[in-house]
Amino acid sequence: MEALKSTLNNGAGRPSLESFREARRQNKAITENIAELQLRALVTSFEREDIEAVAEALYKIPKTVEKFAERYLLSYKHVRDFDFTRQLVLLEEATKSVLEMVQAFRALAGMAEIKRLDRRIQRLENEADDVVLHLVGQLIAPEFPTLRGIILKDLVELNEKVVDRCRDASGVIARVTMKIS
Amino acid sequence: MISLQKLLSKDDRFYDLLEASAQEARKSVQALNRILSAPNKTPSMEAFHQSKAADKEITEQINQALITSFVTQLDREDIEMLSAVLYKIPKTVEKFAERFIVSAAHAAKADFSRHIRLLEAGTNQVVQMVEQLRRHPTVEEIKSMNQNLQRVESEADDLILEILGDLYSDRHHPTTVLAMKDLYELLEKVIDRCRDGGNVVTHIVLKHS
Repeated sequence: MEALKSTLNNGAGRPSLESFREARRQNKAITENIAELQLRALVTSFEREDIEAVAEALYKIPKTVEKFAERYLLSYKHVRDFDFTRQLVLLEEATKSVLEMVQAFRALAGMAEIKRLDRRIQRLENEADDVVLHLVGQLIAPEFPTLRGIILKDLVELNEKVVDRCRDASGVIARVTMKIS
Repeated sequence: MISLQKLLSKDDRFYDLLEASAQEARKSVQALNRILSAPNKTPSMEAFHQSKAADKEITEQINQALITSFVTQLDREDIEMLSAVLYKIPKTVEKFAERFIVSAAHAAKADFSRHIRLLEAGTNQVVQMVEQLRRHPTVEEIKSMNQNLQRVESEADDLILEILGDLYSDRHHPTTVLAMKDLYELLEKVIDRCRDGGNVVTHIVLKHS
């Protein structure tokens, strides 16, 4: 998310993909470590498939961010002056909420706290839907250049998907918490 | 008294059905590759409808058998999950074929040779992985096969980026960009479905290790 923010705020030069790839690689390595650990650890507080589900849901967040970044850089000349601020604010809040949720999950903060955080992410996801609707409305207006519209529609939808992934991860954590509570 | 032989033969039925489903997925991709090899010819939908219908029939047989039989070696939800993931392969292939026909004017000159190679590699690997299930492979064996599949998927990701770079280069009419982007993304999705199939097989093997 930090890499995305810096890319979208970088008016000076063409940004690079490396920081996104690195974030996704690290997350993949963590997901693989979790899978290995499940093999070796005999006793954990959670069931294997629940740990796997949480790890997979979390991995999809940087993966989708990386996909956005790849496409953004690919079409840089068409999209560099488009204002993604409203989406960026929501993305930041959503990923921050997921982090808080994982921390609450670890601290066994209880169902009430997890539900509160889950509701916050659901609200952000609703807001993201409204924002994308508004942006797509601009992009498909007859006066908007067609190719630019096609490319930007793809990008704003990918950003929306990142928030969806945060919502999915939150849903998985809430389900697992409910199961063990 | 239920004999061990009888119990195991019921499990064999599930393995048979899952393998048949993976084979149907591969058949649909083989039909797809035939149309991609000659994009200037208008294809018939028949082979795609047949593959999807056959796979749907197998998925229904699996669901029915899950209700009526006692499974010993695999968990019900894993069989259900794998059968659902495998069915999505011919379903996505059929969707591609439908769009391909309506976009024929834009797609006639496209070169799909790299997609053909990846689609073949992806479905062959899925079939092999599903066939391994009844042989109870080690985690290492299945992980190595899954890594091959991940590589195919990663190559497909690189390929679509390269193609989008060309589509966004201002050299094509926007409607061609729209039509071809949709087609290429559907092909990528077929490979993603294969990757999902590999992940489910790996999950099952990991669970029973």
